[in-house]
Amino acid sequence: MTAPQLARLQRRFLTLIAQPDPLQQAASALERDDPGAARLSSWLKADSDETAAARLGIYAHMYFARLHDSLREDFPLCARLLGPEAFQRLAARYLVRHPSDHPSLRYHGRHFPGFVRQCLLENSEFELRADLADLCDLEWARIEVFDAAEAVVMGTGQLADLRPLQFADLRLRAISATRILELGFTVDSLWSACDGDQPPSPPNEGPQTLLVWRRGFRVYHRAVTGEEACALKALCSEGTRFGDLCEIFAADCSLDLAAERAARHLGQWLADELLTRAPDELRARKSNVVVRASF
Amino acid sequence: MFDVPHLGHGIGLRPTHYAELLKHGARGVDWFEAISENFFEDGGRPLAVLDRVRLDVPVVLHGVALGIGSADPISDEYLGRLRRLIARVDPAWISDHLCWGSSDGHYSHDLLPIPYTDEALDHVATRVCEVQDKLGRPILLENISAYVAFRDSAIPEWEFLNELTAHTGCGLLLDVNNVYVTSQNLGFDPEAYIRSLRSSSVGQIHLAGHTRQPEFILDSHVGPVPGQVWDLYRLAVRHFGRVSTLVEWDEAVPALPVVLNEAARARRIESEVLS
Repeated sequence: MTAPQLARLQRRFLTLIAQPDPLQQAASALERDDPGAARLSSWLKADSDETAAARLGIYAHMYFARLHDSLREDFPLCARLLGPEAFQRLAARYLVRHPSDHPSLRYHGRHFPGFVRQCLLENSEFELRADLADLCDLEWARIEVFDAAEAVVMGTGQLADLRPLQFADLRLRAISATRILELGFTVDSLWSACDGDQPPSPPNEGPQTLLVWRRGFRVYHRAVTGEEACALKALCSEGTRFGDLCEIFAADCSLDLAAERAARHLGQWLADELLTRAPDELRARKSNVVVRASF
Repeated sequence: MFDVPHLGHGIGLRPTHYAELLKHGARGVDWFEAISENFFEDGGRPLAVLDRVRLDVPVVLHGVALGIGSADPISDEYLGRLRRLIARVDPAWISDHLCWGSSDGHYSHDLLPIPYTDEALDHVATRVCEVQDKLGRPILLENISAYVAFRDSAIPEWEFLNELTAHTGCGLLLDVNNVYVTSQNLGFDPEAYIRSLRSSSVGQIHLAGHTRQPEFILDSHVGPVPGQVWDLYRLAVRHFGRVSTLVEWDEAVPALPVVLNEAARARRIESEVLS
């Protein structure tokens, strides 16, 4: 068996176990592109095609069960909202449309929110709530934050020695375990209802901006509005100076009042443990502002 | 020659036990085996648990996604993450499976069987050498559970493993449960399999539970280690001597003392057989 033959055998094997149709039927359909695939017992040790299909079926069953379970663990509230049967059908469609393309199962669900959004746009056979994709965005953001890189969290003690004039130059940025979600629906209340096993209220159009972050080992989220949302986006994208944050808060008030508001928020962010010190030279870094609009 | 220390009788590091391990450390555990890919990210609770238990006991990294038998190229990104984790954990050794898992970049997240042919042996041996060169250390490969075999397979699995370890210097992680499961599913003598392996190649042993279905046996890693697997373990200890042994329990994982009881039983059996 040469390397190309090995590659063809593995392609044939995976193609068959990763599709939902009966195996003998799928093998027959494969025959045109892969001569020899249809007679399963000619390349698998079995006394008949039926026996070979049954054995291959063990792998097919495990393929769908494993990936379905992984999606259900990643999107538990989506699964709860839909119920087991509807979620299984949706997951099965996802598995066919988005085969896993990463060695780690951790990443398999990363296209799921977009897939749900596409299903909503296509008005597909799935009867999905209008806010379901946004809920999935929140669930996925919580996963990303759960194991994001550690950072040296800034505490209030580090500010104690700063003189008032030094505050303006204080360089801040959000820790890596932070995400800002801009959503079309208010899903924080939906998340709370589902998480608490309460009946969900009907979709409530937003927009809504959610802050998702990790403190210690726990993941939190809360809705943020107006100036705090703008400030957090600046903190998430590349970091910013405290003086520049005050400018954001000064959009509709004096600079003194803005500094007071900014300081109040700074106190909250420090208590939330979501700030770290930005480098002296603020460098551009990968943005973790995520824009998701569902209209 | 593959040479690893004898660590005793360990268990798999599983999320069910994270809270207890963070609080009390690895009390009463000889060593842990951690699934490498579960710790590839850069922060959060899983890494904190791994760091915590590593303070107390040796840790071994066990991968499930290297795909040493795949026709797909070995991912440099994957090896990079593994190298980073090795540098952090300083594992006693690292291991993965003799299997493939992806085709054309599509990952099955399963341990799929390869045809046992001379060409496949060359293919796998070349890749083992590539991985060992890139990681700068030998690896152990585990025999998987199989539910089907290929018509092209011309070499018994145990001979394939003997040839592979002899040609590459890699070691064998002998999963005794997998030997039993595959022997029942594909029809061979599990005792002859174990007796046929070159004893110097075996660096670690796995024990686990399985589930008997009407038409086959499923390698489910659920429940205590069954009697047939303990019997094969006795044979393995007689044949290979003292080998670091690990109990895997992955479904309906019970409290830590229950899993540790299984490791203690393995310790007693090893002691009885070798006394």
